Amino acid sequence: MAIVTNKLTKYYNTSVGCNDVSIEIGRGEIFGFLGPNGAGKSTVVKILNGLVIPTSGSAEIFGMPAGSLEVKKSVGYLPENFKYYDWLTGKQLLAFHASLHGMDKHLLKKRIKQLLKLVKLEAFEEKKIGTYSKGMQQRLGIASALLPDPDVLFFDEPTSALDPIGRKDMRDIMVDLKRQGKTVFLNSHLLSEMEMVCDSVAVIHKGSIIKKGKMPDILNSFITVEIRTEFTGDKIPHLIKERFGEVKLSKGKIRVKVDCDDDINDIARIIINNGGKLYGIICEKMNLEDLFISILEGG
Amino acid sequence: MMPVIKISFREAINKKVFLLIGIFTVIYLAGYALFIYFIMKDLDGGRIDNYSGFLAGASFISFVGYYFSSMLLAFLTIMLSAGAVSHDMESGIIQSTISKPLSRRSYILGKYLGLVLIISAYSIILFLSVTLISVMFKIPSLSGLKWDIILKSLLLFVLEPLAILSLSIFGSVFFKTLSNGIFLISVYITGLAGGMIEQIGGTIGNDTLVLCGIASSMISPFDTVYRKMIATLFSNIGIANPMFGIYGIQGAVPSMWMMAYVIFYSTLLLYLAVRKFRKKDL
Repeated sequence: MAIVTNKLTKYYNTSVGCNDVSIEIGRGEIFGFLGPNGAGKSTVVKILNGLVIPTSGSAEIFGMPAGSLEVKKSVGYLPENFKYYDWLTGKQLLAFHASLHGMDKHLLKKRIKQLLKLVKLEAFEEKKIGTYSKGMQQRLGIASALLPDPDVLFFDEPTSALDPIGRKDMRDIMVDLKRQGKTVFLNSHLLSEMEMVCDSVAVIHKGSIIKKGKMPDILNSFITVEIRTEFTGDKIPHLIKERFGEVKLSKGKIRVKVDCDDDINDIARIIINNGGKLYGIICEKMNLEDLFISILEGG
Repeated sequence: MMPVIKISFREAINKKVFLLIGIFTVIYLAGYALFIYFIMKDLDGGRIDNYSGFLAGASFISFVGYYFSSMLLAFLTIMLSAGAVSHDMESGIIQSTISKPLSRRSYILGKYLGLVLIISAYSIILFLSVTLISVMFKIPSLSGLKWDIILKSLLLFVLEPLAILSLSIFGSVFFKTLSNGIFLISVYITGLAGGMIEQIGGTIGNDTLVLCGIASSMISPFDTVYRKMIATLFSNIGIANPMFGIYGIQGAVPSMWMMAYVIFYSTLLLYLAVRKFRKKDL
């Protein structure tokens, strides 16, 4: 495993930053961390980067305590609140960050050039950061995170200041990182983008994880099924309700939420075994955004 | 730690206040030189016939030169360092720094040492300039100064802002930049007031006042270092020593133990800053 947290908890005086957060992220995975504002996403990322001290629980990266100097050598981090010394040029900032990583001077120059090209800031390398737009500063932050060629990357809202082209570039960078076998921890509100790139996700709400799993499993776990059927009495709706919870009935149709494909088979069996007639089944799978809203609304 | 020392040094140089104080220092030194020039001209023209009075006056003038230099230095130190850590925390700059393979202790010490370099360099230039001007215009109280006296005084002159710097780094970990600035100025003024109270207490023989002054010097020992520096620099001129006269009696010269306390005070503050910062959520 690349990242493992065990009952990670952080209290800020009286408020909860995160509570009993346990996640496991495999090597080479892109992991999406979802949650509304103030849910605790950034708290978890900050703990993993050694910026916040947890109240209890543990966090490990490659089996070593998160935030330790040894771990930081192989970690790249783009903070949500990306801010840099505005009197430095883009190139100077990367040189400063590279020196914190103890990078070799010759390697450093080559790497900085390569990364400035990747984030399309080559033409601005000698300009002071104070003159950069927010999007350019975020691109610089991405370059800084990639500097030591880390094995694990944390991107906290990496596209918040980027235009559509910038977002696509960022997506391409993440896909490329995955191809290189890097592990990416992604915090974002842009769920469509997450759906495109993430292998697994977790949803955090009020500091606690309320849903986690592989992306396909998660998406398949919230299926709405509409069944065209004919039956007499209320035994069939009663049995379905007993098994799956809320059932919506309309003329000749039953709508019900199921967790997986096997549940559809179970519904069909209930109808047929109890004398009903089954005319058709339509499955409506949710996208990540619908799912996110549904989970937060307690669906 | 070295990258943080360098960035801290460069950050200080890049601050507008550094440039402003640099310009002000040049104006101040030019004004000081002119002031001494006219005083000495009066002596040469025979307009001052009381030599012992002149000697006391001239030593007082050079004393004033060091006094305002020391205040300028304290001001510069506070302006450069009040936000050394707090500004990085408030702006979020710290997140991209501390997430790199850098220990929190190295960050604090790096910030401190970068400022030590710039403040020490400025202190040395300022001290040597004021001394050179005084010697150039043949201020009698500083004539025949020995190198060891100059060196000792210079070290004490540099020690004062470095002690302020330690307090500033400590405050910068605990408070926001503005609050830290107010805190530092309050502590500095407490020290000045305490020094005066101690001197007055000594002059009129009031032990309570002396004790109050000493207590305030324990909290804010910066003025004590300044007084020790002046006493060292003017140690060879007897009655014309400005530590006498308006500043009272011989007993008011701070001891070497007090200087040891200042070093302990600075080290303790730095230690506490590192300790607090290690547990701080960023």
